[in-house]
Amino acid sequence: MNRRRRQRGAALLEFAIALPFALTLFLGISDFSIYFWSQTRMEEIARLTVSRMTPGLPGYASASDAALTQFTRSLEETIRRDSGVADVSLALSRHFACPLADGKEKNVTAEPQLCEGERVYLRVVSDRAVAPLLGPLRLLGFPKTAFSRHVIRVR
Amino acid sequence: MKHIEAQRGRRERGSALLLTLLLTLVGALILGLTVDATSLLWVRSNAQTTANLVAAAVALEQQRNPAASQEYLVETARATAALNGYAHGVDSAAVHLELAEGKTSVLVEKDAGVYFLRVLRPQPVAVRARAGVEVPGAVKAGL
Repeated sequence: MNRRRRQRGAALLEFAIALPFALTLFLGISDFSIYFWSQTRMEEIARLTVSRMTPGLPGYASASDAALTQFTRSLEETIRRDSGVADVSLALSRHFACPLADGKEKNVTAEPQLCEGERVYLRVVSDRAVAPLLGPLRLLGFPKTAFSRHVIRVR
Repeated sequence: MKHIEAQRGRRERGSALLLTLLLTLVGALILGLTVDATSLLWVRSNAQTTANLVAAAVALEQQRNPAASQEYLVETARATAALNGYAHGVDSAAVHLELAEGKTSVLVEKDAGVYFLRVLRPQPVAVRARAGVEVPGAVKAGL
C-alpha cells in the first residue's frame, strides 16, 4: 500500500517537473504557427493588392494626394472583403526617382524630382496584429504585427 | 521477492522523466526544422512577389523605351529589386534578367537564413524565384 502511494507520488512529481517543458514546447509551436500563418497571409494580401492595382497603374503616378488617400481606403475595403482578413490595414505612398544613363537610379525621394523619364514607385504596406500570442514568445518581445512591404513601379 | 520488487521500483522511478525529456528534445528538434522550413517557404514567397514586381517594372520600361539596351534594363530591374529588399550583390542576393525575342524573364535569388537545418545541412539554402513577362503584355506569374 505504502509502495503504491510512493510510486503515485513519484509519478506526480515527475509529471510536475516535465509539464513546464512540454507546455513551453506546445505553446511555442502554437505561437510560431500563428506568426508564420499571419506572415504568409500578408504576403498573399500584398500580391492580391498588386493584382487589384495593376489595371490602373499609370493613374497612381499622376493622382493627387487626396485622390490617393481616398483610393487607399477604397482598396483597403476591397482587400479586406476579397482576402477575408477583416483587420488588415493598407498604406500606399509614392516615391520618385530619376534614371541615370546606365539605368541605375540616383536617389529615391518622396517628392517629385520632375526629371525626364522620371520613375514613380508605389510602396504598398499591409499589416495586421498577430493575435493572440499566448506563449513564451511574448516574453521574448516577439513581433506582434505581421506585415509585408512591396514597391511597385507605376510609371 | 521483496528484494526483486524494490529493485524494479528503483528502475521504474525516473523513467517517466527521462522519457519526457527525450520526447521534448525530439519535439524541439522537429519544431526547429518546421520553423526553418516555414521560414524558407516564406522567403520563397517573398522572392516570388519581388520577381513579379521586377518583371512588371521591366515590362513598363520596355513599353516606355523600346530602344533600351540590355544593360539599361538589367540596371532598371536591379533598382526595383533593391527597393523590394533584394539589392544585387548585397547579402547574397542576385537579380538576373534574361531577354529573349518578345519575352523577358527575371530570376531573383538569395541565400535564406536557416538555424536548425544546419544540423542536417551546413551549406546555406539558396532560394530562387522566377517570373516571366511577354512585352507588351501582363506579367504571367502571380500579378
